Amino acid sequence: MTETPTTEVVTPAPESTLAADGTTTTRRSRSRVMRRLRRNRGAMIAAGFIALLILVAALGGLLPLPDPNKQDLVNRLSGPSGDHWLGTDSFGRDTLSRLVAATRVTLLAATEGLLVAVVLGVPLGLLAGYVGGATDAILSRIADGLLSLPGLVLALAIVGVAGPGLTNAMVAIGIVFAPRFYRVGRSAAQSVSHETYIEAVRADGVPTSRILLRHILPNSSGPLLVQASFAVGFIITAEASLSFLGLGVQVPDASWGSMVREGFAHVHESTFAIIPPAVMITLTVFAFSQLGDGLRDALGRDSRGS
Amino acid sequence: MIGAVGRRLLLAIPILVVVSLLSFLLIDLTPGSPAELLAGEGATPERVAELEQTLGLDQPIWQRFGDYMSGLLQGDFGTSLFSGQSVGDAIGAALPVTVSLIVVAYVLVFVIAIPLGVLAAVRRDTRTDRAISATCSFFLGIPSFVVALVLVILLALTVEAFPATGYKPLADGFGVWLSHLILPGLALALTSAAEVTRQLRGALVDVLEQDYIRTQRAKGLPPLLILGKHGLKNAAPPVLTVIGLQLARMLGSTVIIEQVFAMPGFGALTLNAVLQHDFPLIQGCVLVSAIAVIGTTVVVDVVEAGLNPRLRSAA
Repeated sequence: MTETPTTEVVTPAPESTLAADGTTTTRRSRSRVMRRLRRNRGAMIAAGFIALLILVAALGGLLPLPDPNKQDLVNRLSGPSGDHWLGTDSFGRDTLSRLVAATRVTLLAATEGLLVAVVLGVPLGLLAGYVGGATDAILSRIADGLLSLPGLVLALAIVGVAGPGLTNAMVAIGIVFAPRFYRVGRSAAQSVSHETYIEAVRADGVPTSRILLRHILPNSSGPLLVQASFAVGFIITAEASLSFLGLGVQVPDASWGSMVREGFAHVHESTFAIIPPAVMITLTVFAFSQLGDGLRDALGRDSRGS
Repeated sequence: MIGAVGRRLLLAIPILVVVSLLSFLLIDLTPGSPAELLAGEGATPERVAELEQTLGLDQPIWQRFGDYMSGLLQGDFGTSLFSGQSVGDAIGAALPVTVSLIVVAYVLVFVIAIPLGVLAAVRRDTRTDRAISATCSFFLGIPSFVVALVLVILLALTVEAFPATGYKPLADGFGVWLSHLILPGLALALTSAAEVTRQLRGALVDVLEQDYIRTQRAKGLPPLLILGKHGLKNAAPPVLTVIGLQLARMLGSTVIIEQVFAMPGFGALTLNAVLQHDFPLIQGCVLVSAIAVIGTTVVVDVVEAGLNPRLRSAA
């Protein structure tokens, strides 16, 4: 028997060298990316759904719906009806109003988590990739350490010392996701730090922080966008998980995760109350992962980031 | 081979040190004083001082770190602030539940993902392949606690095919043990199964395009032999990496799954530690999860090296 050849690590030939060629994304290539994205039906449906969610989150208060915190204990845990399209919860509160209010809470929380992750991860990543040496070694070991922990366990531990509550939960989730953005920033900075144009601005005496933000960061916008789109889906799942465990949003506010928690507490009386928030979580997470896939394909497979 | 194992263990050590440092620092990151948080509102200053002493917070940070690390090296993770039990014992009592759960989940991942991944790769670009891919995307998008709730509602509360909650040790009989683990195991397994199916399909499609597979087809070797002996063996390494990565995902998900199914495992222990601000127990849980995840990475690397002679000599 002859020795069977072994597989090579699969590294697809770059379709476009958008992120790696050291030039800032030009307007023309950006419109090419948009054109490719528009041709992707799944990604466009996902983008439409996300736009709709943002609209509901922003303008939900204007909808002619009952007060999401108004209790009606006689009509508790009722199924869908003319008065309550999605039924009521264990306090007789209208599920549809609460779902709309929770959309706002959930999206704001996801934005908060994403901001923490980006603000912590990206600048440190750019710095580590640009200066290298001991800074890079120390920061990268910390990122490896954080990445070696199950995300939910790490988030739980941080909430455990900081105390429950939506803001603490989102900071914890942001810390969990920061290493991924660190890696994107680091590889973007590494790939261009020896390019001539960077050496030119360095020779001009431009301060490091300005080089990082004005000359290196724009280069990584593609991979960062892909990473962010995937991350939002994971962050929404993480928020829902923490709120389901009672460590995220606190009563009487509601996020989709805490609505599932309330529904689950009364699962033996009625199973309907769980369905609307669970469906919203699933659809939203799915939409962000489809959009992420679409963006990645449109930007070319080399822009995957990590 | 032994050298390869040793090298990978050495690579894991700095990460473990960083994780122990991070988990040690957790307590110092507490906003305000951890002792005041523990004592609760309206506690007397004496009580707070007493707690500070128990936690060792009255000592300088370097001394505490030294005590902490030397304790860890002797296998002493500290003592739970609430039960008075040693952290090691508390985790040791909870682990069999979670290990059972994860073993069942991994078996389910293999049972689901290997046939589906192979089928999708062999029937590439047919309706079967597209149906499998779409199903995978769907399950990758659903948080595992939603899967768990759907399973509880459908199979335990509505059909009553399985017990809804609880855990029975293996000593009560294999059937009893397994019947309590099927639903939570499935809830834990589905996302991972989808991920592994997708990776296996991709890796196998790449391998089946290679010239040496075509040569073997031309030689008239039976298709199943080609697939099993040459296709799967060469597709295995990237898939194994993904299978190893699932442990971290599963360990995180057990916190939720054990809550939904009322199982007294490691996830439930972690959650209780968090709810009670039981700092030594939280630190212990963080460390044990890290050790499990890093250990799995090492095992996966070694198995890959065993499968691929070229990797054996490379560092």
